[in-house]
Amino acid sequence: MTAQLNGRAVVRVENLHKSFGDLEVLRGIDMEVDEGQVIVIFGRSGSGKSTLLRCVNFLEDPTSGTIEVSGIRLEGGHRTHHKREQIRRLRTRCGMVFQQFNLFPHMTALQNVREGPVTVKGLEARAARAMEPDVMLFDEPTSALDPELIGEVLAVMTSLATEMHMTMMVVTHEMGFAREVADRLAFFHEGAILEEGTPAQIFEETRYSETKRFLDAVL
Amino acid sequence: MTTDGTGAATRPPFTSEPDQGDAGGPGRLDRWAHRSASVPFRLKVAFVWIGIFLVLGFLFWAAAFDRGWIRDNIWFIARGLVFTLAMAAFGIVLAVVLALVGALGRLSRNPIAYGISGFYTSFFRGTPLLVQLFLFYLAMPRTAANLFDRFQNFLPQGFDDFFIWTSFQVGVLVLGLNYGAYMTEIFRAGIQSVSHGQSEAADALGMTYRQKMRRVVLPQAFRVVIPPTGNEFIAMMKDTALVSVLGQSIESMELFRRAQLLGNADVKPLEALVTAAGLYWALTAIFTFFQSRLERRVSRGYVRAAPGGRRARERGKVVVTGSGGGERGAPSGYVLDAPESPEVPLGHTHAGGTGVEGASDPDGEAP
Repeated sequence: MTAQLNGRAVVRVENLHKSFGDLEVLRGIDMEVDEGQVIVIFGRSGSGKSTLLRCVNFLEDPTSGTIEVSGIRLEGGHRTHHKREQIRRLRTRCGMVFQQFNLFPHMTALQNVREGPVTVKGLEARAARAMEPDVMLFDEPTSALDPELIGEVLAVMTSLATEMHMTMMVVTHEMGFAREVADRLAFFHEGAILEEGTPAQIFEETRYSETKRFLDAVL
Repeated sequence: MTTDGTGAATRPPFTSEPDQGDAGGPGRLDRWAHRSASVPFRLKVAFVWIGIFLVLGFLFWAAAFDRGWIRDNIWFIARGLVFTLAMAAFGIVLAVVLALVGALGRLSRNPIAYGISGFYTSFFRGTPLLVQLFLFYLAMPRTAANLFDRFQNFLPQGFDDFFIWTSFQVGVLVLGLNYGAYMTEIFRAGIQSVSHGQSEAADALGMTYRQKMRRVVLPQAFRVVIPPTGNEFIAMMKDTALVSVLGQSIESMELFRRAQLLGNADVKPLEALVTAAGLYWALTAIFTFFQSRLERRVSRGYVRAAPGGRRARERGKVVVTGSGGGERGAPSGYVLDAPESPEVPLGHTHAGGTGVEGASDPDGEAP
C-alpha cells in the first residue's frame, strides 16, 4: 500500500494555525514528510511541537490550514459530519506513541507492557493488522522512561526507521537519535519553524542563536 | 462462645472488685482496661451483639411474644421473598441500562442527550420514590385513558388498556427508573475515572465513539462501577417493600404485605413485622456477604501479581495493545510483524515488538 506513494509526501502540512483561546500556539506551519523520511521536531516546551503532532491526526482541531496524510486532505476549522468520518480514515493511516506513559507505579515496566488492559487485547491486534500505518507520530516517547528503557525504545525506533523504512515524525530531545536517524530536523520556536535542515546543517552550521542556545543546553 | 478461654475466663469479676475510692494510683477502671486488652476485639463485639439480642428477647418475652404464630406463618410470609428478589433483579437490570444511557448523556456534548438525561436524573432523584410509584400506578393509566378519549380516532384500539400495569410491573419500572437516576452518577464517575489518555489513544486509532466506549472505556469503567451497583441492588431489595402500598392484586402479595395482612388479621403486629424484618435482614445479609467478596475480588485486579496476570505470564504471551500499549510507549495498535494470533508470543516479536518489553528478556522473567 506504500508503493504508490513512492517519492511523494506522506504528510503535508500547509499554513497550519492553532490557537487555544487567545493563545496562538502554531503560527503558520508548513511541512512535508516524504515516504520513508524521519523528521525530528525539537524545541523548548510550549513551542508547539506536540500540538503540531496532535493536529496531524486531529487529536486537536487546527484553527486553520490544511493537513494531508496519504492523500486524505482536510481543512482546519469546524467538524462536519462528513469531516468526522474523514478524520477517522486519516487516523487509521497514522500510528501514534504518546508522551504520557501511564505506567502503573507498583509494577515493573515489563509487567506494565504484559498486563495491559485485558479487555482491549484482541481488538488492538485486529486493529493493528488492519492498520499498518503510513506514518508514525512519536510525541516525546522517551521523556517518561528511565535511562535503560530509553535506550531500548530508541533502538526500536531506529530499526523502524532503518529496517522498515517507516515514515516518522518524532518530537524528542534525544539529539543522538536525531543525529543518527533523522533525515531532517525542525527547530520550533514560538509556534513557528525557525530553522530546518539535515542533521549536519543543524548541528554543524547552526544559523540562529536560539537554536544554538537550545542545542547547547540539550547536548 | 462464652467458653473461649481467652474470652470469658479472663473477664474480671467486675462487681466483686473492692472499691478503690480515691486512694490514688491505678484505679479500678485502669485495671479493668488492662485486663480487657487481652480479649480480642471481635469477641467483645460479639458480646455486645449477644447483649442486644438478650435485651430484645427479654422485651419480646415480656410483651407476650407468640413464637408459635411465627412458626405457623413464616413460610407463607417467606414466599414473598420470590417477589422481592424477582422485582429487584428485573429492577436492577433496568437501572443499569438506564444508568449507562444516562451517564453517556450526562457526558455528551449533544444538547438533546444532555438535556434529557439531566431532566431524568433531576426528576427521579428529586421526588420521593413513593410518589413515583403512585404516579405510574395511578396517574399513568388515568392520563392514557383521558388521551384515548380525546384522540380516539388517532390512537390504536387498546391504547388505554396498555397503560394499566400490575403493581409488579410498576414496581420494576419505578425502581429501575429511580435507581437508574442515582446510578447515572455512579456510572458517570466510573467512566470519568478511566484516564483521558485511554480514550485519546482510542481516538488516535481511528475508533468511532461507539467502538471507543464499548471496547476501551466501558470495560475499564465497569471495574469501578460493579461494587456500588451491588450496593444499589441490596438497597433496592429493601425498597421493594414500598410496592406493597400499591393495592392488593395477586402480584402485590409481596413479603411485607403478606406479613401485614396476616398480622392484622390475627392482631399479631409485633410477630408479623419482626418476621418480615428478619427475612429482609437475612436476605440482605447474604447478599452483603457476597458483595464484600466481590469487592475484594475487584480490587485484587489492581494488586501486583494478580491471578489473571500470572496466568498470562505462564502462557508466556505478550500483547501489543494500542490504547494501553500506546501510552506505554508502544506504537498505537501497531504490531511490527502483524501476527495471525491476537496475542503475540514473547520472543517472537520483531525487534522487541512493543518497544518496551524488550528483546533482552526473551524468557519472560520479570526482573
